Amino acid sequence: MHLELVVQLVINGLLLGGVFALAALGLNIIFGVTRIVNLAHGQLIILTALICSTLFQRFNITPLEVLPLAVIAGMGVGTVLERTLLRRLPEHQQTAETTSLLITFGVSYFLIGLSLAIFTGDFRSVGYLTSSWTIGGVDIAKAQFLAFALALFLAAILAVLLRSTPVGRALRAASQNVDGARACGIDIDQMRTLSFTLGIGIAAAAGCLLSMIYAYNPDTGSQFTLIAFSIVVLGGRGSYAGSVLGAALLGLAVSFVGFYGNTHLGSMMPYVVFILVLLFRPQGILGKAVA
Amino acid sequence: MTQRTLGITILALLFLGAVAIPFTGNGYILSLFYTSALFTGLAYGWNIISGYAGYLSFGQITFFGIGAYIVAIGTTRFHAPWYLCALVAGVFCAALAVPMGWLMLRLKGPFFALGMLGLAQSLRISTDLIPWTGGADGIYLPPGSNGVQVYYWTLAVLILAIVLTATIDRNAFGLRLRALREDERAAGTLGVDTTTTKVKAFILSAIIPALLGGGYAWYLTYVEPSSIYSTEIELQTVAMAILGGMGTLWGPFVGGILMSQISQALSTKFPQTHLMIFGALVVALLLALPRGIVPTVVDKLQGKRKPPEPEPAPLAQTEVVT
Amino acid sequence: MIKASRRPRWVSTILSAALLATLVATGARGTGAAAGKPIVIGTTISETGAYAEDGKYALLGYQYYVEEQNKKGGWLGRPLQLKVYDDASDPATSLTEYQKLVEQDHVDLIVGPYSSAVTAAVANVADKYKMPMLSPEVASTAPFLRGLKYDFMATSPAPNYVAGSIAIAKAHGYKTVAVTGEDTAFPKAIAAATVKATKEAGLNVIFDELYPHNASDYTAIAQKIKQANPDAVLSAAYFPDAVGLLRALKQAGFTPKELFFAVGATEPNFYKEVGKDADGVLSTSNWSPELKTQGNAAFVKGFTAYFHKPPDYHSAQNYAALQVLQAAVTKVGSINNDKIRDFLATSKVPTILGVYSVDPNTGIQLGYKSLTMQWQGGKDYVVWPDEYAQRKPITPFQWASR
Repeated sequence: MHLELVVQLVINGLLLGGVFALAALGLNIIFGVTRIVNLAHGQLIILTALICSTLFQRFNITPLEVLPLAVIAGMGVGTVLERTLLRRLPEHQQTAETTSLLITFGVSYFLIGLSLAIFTGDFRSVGYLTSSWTIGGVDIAKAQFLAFALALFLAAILAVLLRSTPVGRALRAASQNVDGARACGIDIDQMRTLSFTLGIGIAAAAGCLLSMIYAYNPDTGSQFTLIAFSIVVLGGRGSYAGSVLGAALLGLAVSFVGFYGNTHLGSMMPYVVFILVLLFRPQGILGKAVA
Repeated sequence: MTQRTLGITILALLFLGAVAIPFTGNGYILSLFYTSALFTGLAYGWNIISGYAGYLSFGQITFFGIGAYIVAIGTTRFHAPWYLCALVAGVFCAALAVPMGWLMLRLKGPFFALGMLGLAQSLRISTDLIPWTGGADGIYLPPGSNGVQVYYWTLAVLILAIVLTATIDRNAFGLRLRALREDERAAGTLGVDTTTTKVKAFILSAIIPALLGGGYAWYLTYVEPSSIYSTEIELQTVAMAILGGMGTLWGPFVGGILMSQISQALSTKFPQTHLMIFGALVVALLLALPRGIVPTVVDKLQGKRKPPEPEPAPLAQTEVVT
Repeated sequence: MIKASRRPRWVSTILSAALLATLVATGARGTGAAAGKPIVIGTTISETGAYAEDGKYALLGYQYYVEEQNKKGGWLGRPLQLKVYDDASDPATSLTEYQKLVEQDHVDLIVGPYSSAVTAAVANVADKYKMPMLSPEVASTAPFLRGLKYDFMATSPAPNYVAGSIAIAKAHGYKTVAVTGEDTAFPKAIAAATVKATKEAGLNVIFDELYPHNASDYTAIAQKIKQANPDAVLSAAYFPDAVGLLRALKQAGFTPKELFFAVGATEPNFYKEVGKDADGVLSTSNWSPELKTQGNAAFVKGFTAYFHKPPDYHSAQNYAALQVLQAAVTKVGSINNDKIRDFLATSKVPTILGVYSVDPNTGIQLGYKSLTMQWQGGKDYVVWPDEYAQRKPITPFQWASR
C-alpha cells in the first residue's frame, strides 16, 4: 500500500513539474538569448487561458482545438512585442537589463488591465479532460499528462533545433556570446526577435493546457511568472533539458513536502528553492557557469 | 531673493501646507494626503537601493509588512504605544537587512529583483504558519480613527527620506552608489567597498518602508497577510519611482504626487480600464523618457538655458608678443 | 552666476510645488452639493480587485433595490440615490472613499463594503461620524468583537454555514469527516466552526488541514484526504480553490460520500466552469430564490427582468440590508442616525433573507440562518433545512464521469 502511495506522489510531482516546465520553457528561450526577463510571461499565459475558457463556454471549442491557432497568434504577439518595445534598448548592459525589466513590468500591468476589462475579475476554468487514467492502481491526470508530454516534446524539439539546424545554431551562438556571434555574421536582432516569437508561442501553448488544470483570473498571472522564472534559474539559463529536469524536481518537492509536511510548505517550495539556487548554485543544475 | 532662498521658501511653504492639512478637519482630504505621502515615502525608500544603487527590488514590501506586523503585535500583546512599536520595527528591519542584504545582494539584475519578490511571497505564506501573527485571521488593533497621528508620522518619515536622499545625492556615499550602479566591477577596482556600500543602501531602503508600514497598521487598525504583503502596493511604488525618475532627488516626489493624481483621476473616469491605461502609460513613458520625468525635464530646461557658445577668437588676431 | 548644480533643484522644486498645488486643488474641488431632496446612500464596493466577482453581484443588489423603491416613491416621500465608489478590494482605498462620501458628498446614510478586511478599517469611520453601517457582506464574527457601536452584521454568521452539511452527514449515518479549506480569515473561521460543530454532533474529525491562498497544487492535500478516507469532505473554499480541490479529488480517484464547499460552489458560475462533476456538490447559501420570505418572489422577478440575469445570494444580502434600513428610517421618521442606530441594534425586521435580528451589544446577527444547497442536474437547490428545502439531498456523491 505504501509503495503505491509513493508512486502516486512521484507521478503527481512529475506531472506538476510538466506544468511548471511548460510555463518556463518560453521564458527560458527569451531569457537565454536576450537576457530579458519577460515579466509579462505569466500574464500572457493567463490571457490565453482566459480566451480558451471563453471559447469553450460559448462555442464548445476545446483548448486542444484552439492550441495550433493559439501558438500562431502567440508567435505573432511575441514578434510584435520584441520589435516595437524591446528593440531600442540602451547599449550599456546593466541599464538595458533594468529598462527591459521595467518595460515588461509595464506590459504586464497593461495586460492585467486589458484582461480585467475584457474578462472581468471572475474566475474561469475549462471543464475538459478533468479526469485521469488509472493504470495499475495509479492515477494519471489527463490534462496534466498532456502538459507534461508537450513540455517534453517541445524541449526535445528545441534541443534538436539548436543543435542541428543553422537557425538553431545561430540562436545558440547569440545566447552564448553576442559579440562573437555578430562577428560571425549572425543577425543578432533577428535572433532576438526569433526568441520572442518562439517564447510567446510556447507561452500560448502553455496557456491552452493550463486552462484545463487551474481556475484563474487576470490577477493570477504574476504567480506563474515567478514560478516560471524559478524553473529557469533552477535548470540553468539556456538549458532546456535543465528546465525540464528542474521543473520535475520542483514538482516532486512540492508534491512530497505538501504531503508529508503541509501544503503551506509545499506552496513555498518554488520560492524557497529559487532563492537557495540563486544564492548557492546560480548556474542552476545543468547551466554552465555564467561568464 | 536669490535662487537658493526662493527654493527654500517654496519648500518651507510646501511643508507648512502639508502640516496644516489636518486642520481643515476634513477626513477625506487628510486620507488623500496620507496616501500620497505614504506612497511617495515608499518610492523614496525604494529609490535608494533600486535607483541609486541600481539593484532593482520587487520585494521591499517585505519590510513594510514586517513593520505593520510589529506594530500590530506590539499594540495588542504588549500594549505599547504604536509609534514606539514602529520605531522598534525600523530598528528590527535595519538589523534584518544586514544578513539579508549580504546574502541577496550577491545576485544581479533580474535575479535580485525576482529573488526579493520570492522572498516577499515566502514571507506572506509563512505568516500563515506563525502563530503569534494571528495567521490568516490577522490581528485586530484597538479600533480608532488614527488618521491625524499616522499622517504626521508618515509626513515625518517622508521628510526624513527626502533629507536622506538629498544627502546621498551630493555626498561621497551617493557617489559610490552611483559608481557601482554604472559598473560594479570597475567601481571595485577603483577602491569602492561594493559590499559594504550596497548593504548600507539596502539597510536604508529597509528602514523607511518599515516605519511606514508601522503607521499603516495603525491607520487600518487591522492587519492580515494579503492586504499587508500586497503586490499592489509594491507595484505602485515601483511604478511611481520609475515615472518620476529613478536615482534622482525629486523623482520619487514627482512620481508619487503625479501618479496618485493620475491614479485617482483614471479610476474615477475609467473604473474598468484604468489599469490598462496605467500600464500603457508606464510603458510609453519608459520608451519616451527612459530616465523618468524629472531628469528629462531638467535636461530640457538646462538645454534651453545654455548660453550661446562664444565665438572662438580667430587665430590671426592672436599675437605672440615678445 | 547660478551654478549648474543649483538650477535643477530650483526647477524641480517649482515642478513639485505646482504638483502639490494641483493635489490640493483637486482635493478641494467639489465641496459637495447640498443634500437636497434625495436621500443619498453611500457605499464602496469591490468592483475591481480580489473580491470583484462577488462585489459585482453585491452592487447589483443595492442598485436594484433603489430602482425598485424609487418607483414606489422612495423613503419618507423622497427619492433614493446610491453613491458608490470602487474600493478595489483594498482597505485603505475604502477608508478614503468612505470619508469622501461623508465629508465631500454629504451622504445621508452609509451601508457596508465587501469583506471583513475592508470592513475592519471602515468600521472606524462609521464610529467616528456616528453613522450606523449595516454589513451584509461580512459573516466573520471577529470584526464585531471590538467594541464598536455602529456596525451591524446583516447576513448569516460564519458558524451557521456548516450546520446543514453536518446535519445531512449525521442523518445518513456518516461517521468520519475531513475538514479543510483556504487559510484566509473567513474560510478559516468556517473551518474552525466546522470542527467544533462536527464534534458536537458526535462525528469524528479525522483530518483537519488548511491549504494556503493561491496554491498552485492541490494534489498533495487531495492525496492526504484520500489516505484518511473520510465519509464526508467539508471544505471552506472560495471559488478557485473549490475548483482546484474538486478536480484534484477526482483525479486522485477518491469519491467521498459527501462533498461540501462552503462558499465557492454557490456561485452561479461554478457549474459553468466545472461541468457535470458539480452535480451532487453541497454548498452554503444565505438565500435561495424559492424562499418564501418577505418580498422574495417579487425581488427575483423584478431583478431578473431588470438585469437580464438572476440574482445570487450576494445581491439578495445587499437588497435585504436596504430593506432593514428602510424599516429603520420609516420607524424613526427621519434621517436621524443615532435613532436609526438604536433601531438597528434592537429590532427584528423581516426581509428576503429571513428575519434580521442582532445582538444589541456586538451587532452579531442572530436571526438569519444559512441554507445548504446542492447542485442537481445543473441547478442549485435548497436541501436543508427542511422548512425551506426544495428537494431532498442526493447521497452518496458520485463523479459524473471517470
